[in-house]
Amino acid sequence: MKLLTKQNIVFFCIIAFVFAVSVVSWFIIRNIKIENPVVEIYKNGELTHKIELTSDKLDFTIIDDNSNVIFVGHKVGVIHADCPDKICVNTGFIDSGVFPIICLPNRLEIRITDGENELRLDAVAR
Amino acid sequence: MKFKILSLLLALTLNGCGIFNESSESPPTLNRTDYALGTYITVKTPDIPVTAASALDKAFARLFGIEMIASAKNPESELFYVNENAYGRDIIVSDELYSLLHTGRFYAQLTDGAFDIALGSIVELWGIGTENARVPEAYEITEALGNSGFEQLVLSEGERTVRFLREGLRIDLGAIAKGYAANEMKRVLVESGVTDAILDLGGDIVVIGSDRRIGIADPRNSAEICAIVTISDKAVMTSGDYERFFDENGVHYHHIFDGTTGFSADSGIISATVIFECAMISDVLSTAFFVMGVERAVEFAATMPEIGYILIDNEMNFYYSENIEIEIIN
Repeated sequence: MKLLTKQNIVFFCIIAFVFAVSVVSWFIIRNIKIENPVVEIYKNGELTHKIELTSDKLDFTIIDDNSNVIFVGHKVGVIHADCPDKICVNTGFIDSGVFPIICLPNRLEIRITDGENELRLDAVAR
Repeated sequence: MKFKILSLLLALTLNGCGIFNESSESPPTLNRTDYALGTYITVKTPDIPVTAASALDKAFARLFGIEMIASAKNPESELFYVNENAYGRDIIVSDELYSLLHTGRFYAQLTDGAFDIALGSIVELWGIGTENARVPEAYEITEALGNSGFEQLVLSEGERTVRFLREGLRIDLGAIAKGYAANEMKRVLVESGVTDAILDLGGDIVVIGSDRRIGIADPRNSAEICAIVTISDKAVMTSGDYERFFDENGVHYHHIFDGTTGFSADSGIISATVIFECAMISDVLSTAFFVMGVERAVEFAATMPEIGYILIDNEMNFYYSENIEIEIIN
């Protein structure tokens, strides 16, 4: 039986190409930078915290109903959760808007938005 | 051959990834902030011709020059000298101060005193924005009112002199000098070749360039904005009751005074914004509209159709002219 047939090579190349594109896309998405990242924390669908990640008053924790402990630095992540699966903890730290951190059992969502682009202001009159 | 093509595609894709990840920093800007006319003043420009840095120096030098003329609080300023010495005698003043006083009195007459440069004794009495802020006694307010009003200011154009008809009269150019300074700074920058800049004079904004989005502070939560206007080459000047104030016994006392009562203006407007090419006129009219109240202000603005305005009353109702591009934020 001949393994290196023309069909097998083409098939292998297609699989390799799709795999490479997936890896590259994942890498690109993970590295998308947001100019002025703002972390928004939602509990039960309601916005509870909105913090600029460019602030110089960072590196603190938020304890959410004793269910999740959220660390807010120049990246944000859940460092402890009382839920069984710990998907939120395992998501790691984020500083871009592509992948939110979600804890379904505790109905917690953490997402990054572009604070400046949200309003795109050049100045504020007061 | 096909393998080579696929390899090439992969290489291109990976290479593309590298390009994509190049840091997309915002374009460099030239900033300068300094303190003058009782507030922090910032000029920010992404437009950096070789001469821009010296243009900023020139603009700020012009600003400090104006402060030495028009500040009522600086003991070394020309206006301070006039306030101390102009009762009962003619004081010759510089062209620039004369022009400011003349323009201020003109707009005081035009607005029936809603804007008045001669309320300095009331401003001093209340001390709002200083550590001496207090609610004065009724007799003190009556006395200060007697020493107020643009009618007590005599200007003689030929000799360029100023004279006060009341001993306690005090001129305060706070509601016009910042706008004037903004005009002058803008002129210096434009003459130096700057085509794109934002001037922020303690929240009074002047735009050099096109399509800039300017937020309007929410008067009941000034950390947030309640509207956005898009402007080109214009000034956006706001007068509100939330910048300098104190609360006592449940009453909100702020720094914009009504020359007919001697108290903080209580027209129902809590924020008045004027948008116009001339920062000085915008500055003057934002104060005047705040004191006038919605009905009078809208009526007045109808006589100057080129003026844009946004008025917000104490129930957060918005009244704005049709000639501005505005987005209200809920």
